Amino acid sequence: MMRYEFMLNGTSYMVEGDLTRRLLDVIREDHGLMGTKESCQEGECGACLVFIDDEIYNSCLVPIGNVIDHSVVTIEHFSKSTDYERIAKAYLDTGAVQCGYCTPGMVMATQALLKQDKKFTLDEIKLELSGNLCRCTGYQTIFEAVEKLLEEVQEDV
Amino acid sequence: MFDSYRPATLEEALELMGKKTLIPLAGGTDLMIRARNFQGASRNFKGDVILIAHLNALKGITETEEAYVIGANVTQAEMVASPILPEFVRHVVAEMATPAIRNAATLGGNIVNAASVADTLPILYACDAKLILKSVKGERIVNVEDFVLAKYKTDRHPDELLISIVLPKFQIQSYTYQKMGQRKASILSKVSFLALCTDHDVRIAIGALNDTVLRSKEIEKMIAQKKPKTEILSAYQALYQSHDDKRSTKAYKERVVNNLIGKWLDEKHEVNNG
Repeated sequence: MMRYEFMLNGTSYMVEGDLTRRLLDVIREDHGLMGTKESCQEGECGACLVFIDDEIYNSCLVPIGNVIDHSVVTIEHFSKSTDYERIAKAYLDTGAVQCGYCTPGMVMATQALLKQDKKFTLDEIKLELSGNLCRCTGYQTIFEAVEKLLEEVQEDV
Repeated sequence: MFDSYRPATLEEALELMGKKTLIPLAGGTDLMIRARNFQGASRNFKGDVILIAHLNALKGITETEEAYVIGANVTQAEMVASPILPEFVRHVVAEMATPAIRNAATLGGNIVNAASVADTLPILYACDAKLILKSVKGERIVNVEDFVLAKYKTDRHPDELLISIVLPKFQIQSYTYQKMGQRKASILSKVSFLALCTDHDVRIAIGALNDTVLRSKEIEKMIAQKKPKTEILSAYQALYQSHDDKRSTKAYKERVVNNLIGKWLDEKHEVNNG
């Protein structure tokens, strides 16, 4: 019997049994990490986004077998980073958080955008965040937060 | 209940598939939804599953003098970021789904799933792509239009895996791509229209209208001969086999396709408008 492992938030865990279990279920049920949300269950809403090897994925569509030998990071672990602190501050400053359900996924999609290290027009920001639905804010404050973050990066250069 | 397998190599995968019928599962962006079930419950697969996304033999984009060779496991994100693939290919794929979905969704999955709305299929039809399939018995090469038999139905034998996709190279002078959907991103096509002008011919592939991609080499010849627009449009009209679905109506889709073809003819080709 093969021994399968994957990394979750920096710790190695065994993968056993059904390899088609959703990464989302493993994160929430086995590890009790509730920052990764379930909403649409079909890859539309982005509430379940996680990083796999630093790229965003919908954890509701990832069979656990696909992360064997890969590194998964959830919002709980990402929130310890300085990148997260910058994004959180911008979201707070612009009022980009209301009920908060979409926020972990939205923050991770924002990080995926920022780490590309290039300029984005407003239309391009909308495309980058097109996999994340928010039913409270109307998106404008979220776009403002991202624009603010992009300006800060420009100023740093 | 069903079993799930994760063979270490392609050879092991094919050996397993030679022994029993398995459902190949790559990025999961289609199949995990079709196998949906309650939160926490096991997925609803109708048979045993074989995971293939990790198989290195199905990864990577290479090129020869005559063709681009794309591994079935290449993701949409990898296609969009490829420095090798032509611009029109990357353009079409970049308009699919969302960034997170494109990170997981594979080209092979889009083909074998064979949805009528698969946006990569018009590229393959327009390029006269060939598919390489493998089983323990050997390898075979199939034209894409012979592989896709109907909506969600392909000529893949139960013991075969799609290994790679061969896109023949040709000189592109210009291309037009129009994807019509309810919103700009993260949307399935109501219809799509891809037109390529090469140095020796024109190719038009219409996606999401019929159950499989519509491409007619006869009508493309009529376009090259600068036949009247009305004649070309009615020739296409005769090939429409659309129907109402949850995204759109037959009448709307056919009218939009006529408009897209007509507009493209007006702009790109000085056809006789009489």
